[in-house]
Amino acid sequence: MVIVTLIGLFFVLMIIGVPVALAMGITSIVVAFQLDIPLSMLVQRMVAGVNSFPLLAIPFFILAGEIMNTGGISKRLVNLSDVIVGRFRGGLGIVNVNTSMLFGGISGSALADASSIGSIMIPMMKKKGYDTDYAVAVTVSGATQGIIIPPSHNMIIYALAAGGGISISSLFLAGIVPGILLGIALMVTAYIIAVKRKYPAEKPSTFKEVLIAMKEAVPGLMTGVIIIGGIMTGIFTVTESAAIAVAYAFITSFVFNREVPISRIIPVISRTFKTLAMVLFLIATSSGFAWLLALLRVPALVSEKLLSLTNNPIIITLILIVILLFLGTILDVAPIILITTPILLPIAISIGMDPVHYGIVMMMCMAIGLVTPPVGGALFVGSAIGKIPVENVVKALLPFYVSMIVILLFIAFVPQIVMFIPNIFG
Amino acid sequence: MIENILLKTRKMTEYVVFSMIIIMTLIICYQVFSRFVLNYTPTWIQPLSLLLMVWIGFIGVAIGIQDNSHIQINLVVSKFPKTIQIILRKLQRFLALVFGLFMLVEGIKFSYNMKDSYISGLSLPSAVLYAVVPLSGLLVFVYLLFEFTGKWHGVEEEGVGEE
Repeated sequence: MVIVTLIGLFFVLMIIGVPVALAMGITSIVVAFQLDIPLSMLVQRMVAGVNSFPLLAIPFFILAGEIMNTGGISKRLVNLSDVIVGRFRGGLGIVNVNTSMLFGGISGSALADASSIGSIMIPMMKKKGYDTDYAVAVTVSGATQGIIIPPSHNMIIYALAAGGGISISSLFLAGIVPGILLGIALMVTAYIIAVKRKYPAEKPSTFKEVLIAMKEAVPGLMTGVIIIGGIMTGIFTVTESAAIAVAYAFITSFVFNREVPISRIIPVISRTFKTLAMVLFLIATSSGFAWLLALLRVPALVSEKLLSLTNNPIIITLILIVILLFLGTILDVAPIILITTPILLPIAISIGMDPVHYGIVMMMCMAIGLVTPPVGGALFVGSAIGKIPVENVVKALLPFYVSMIVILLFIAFVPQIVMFIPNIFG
Repeated sequence: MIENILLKTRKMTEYVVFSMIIIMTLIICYQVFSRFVLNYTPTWIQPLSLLLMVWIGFIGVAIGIQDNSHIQINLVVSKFPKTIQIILRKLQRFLALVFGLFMLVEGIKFSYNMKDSYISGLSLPSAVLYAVVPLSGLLVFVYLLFEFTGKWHGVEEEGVGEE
């Protein structure tokens, strides 16, 4: 009975437009009342959710991304991609995906990716005669790479939700190959559509132009190298490498490049704070919510039900994927990770999946969720920049959904693709 | 008059949080410096930055509620007639007010209970950590109360330009 209140109330509140994090908070209060749990326990749970060392890296990742963005790095990455892949038909579409791949290696956030690359690429593509629906579809599907290509703050949240037994660096390393595969799949899709719709190609660049673009982009790309390199070699902890990346990004953008005045650091910090507040609020209330679910034995009930249905690992994997994809369409990433991991991870482990492998499969499902309505952060950001209804973008996204799902199934059923790099370094 | 005080308080809150973000970055960088150059890792840095993050997070909760900028689903609501939309919005804001009250009251109780325990690594009582919850509750409660009485209309987004 209480379980019904918990889930029912949450969905009703969410549908009537209560912010998702608040809906979880209010639901938790009502349920705690019903169960006669002192409300101050809920306060304790909410604070405990945020008060965790691994999460400390998140503000720095967001801040580094914002600084690089303001300091003109996105423009340089577009430039670099342009001289390399722009010569193909539909060149700008491929440039777009490729830039996201590079940017994903810096910011680690799909939304930052969609807004910064979208605001450069979408107007540029429109001007060159690309249809808006295609431009937005390419941008938002490309942006989802940010969640899979390291660093990804959602992987940190996953490691936390899994109870701390999973190393964040293994997760980061495991994301590299699937992220690149996803990028290639999206570029191929973008190319096929471009050929069909007869989009133009950019003029091929000379070797010299390539070198210049590379030289310009290197300082920005170094940020990603510092983060990944620092973690892989074990010189820095994840948090430290993220903070060093912030310092590095700040010095290159504001001290050496000086394209923008130092006063621009205030809006950068302000945007970082807003993004961080959203993420941390979701983490705080999801922690309370997940704690109540555990108290009501929901994880055990779900896994008993599911495992009594079948014990075929392939079918169970597919069921897990369907659950995650479904939740991905209606919920935001952080709450899904925090709420479902205690429930679904034990099931995944029981059929022999490695927690790192399951984590990457989950990130891939979340990536698809970011571009599917009714709740798809990247989709909304892209539609807003392109000034085009979400419905039109969704239509243009259909072939991209197909390629994303193909990659999802591929990495779900061929674990070697995911585990290959972490096993070398593990 | 009241609007002015609310606005000033709000600006001040933001600048306090911004400084916290800067301090957090600086001390973690100092930790790396200290470990490599001075061969010594100060133990107070991690707990202090964590404390700062919890504070930043919960004050962020309050500012996000004040601005109604937390992630919400508008796809269903926007299909309803205008009057129902207005009622739902009021209801949504009222629930936020209740949540603020919850953070305020329960936060005070919990912080009080924690007055005798200490944050490990820092010689500060745990109450300092939890005190941000009632503070955030207060920021939500007061601002929403004035929003309901028409004394507070939110902050104007100044030209925080995107390129």
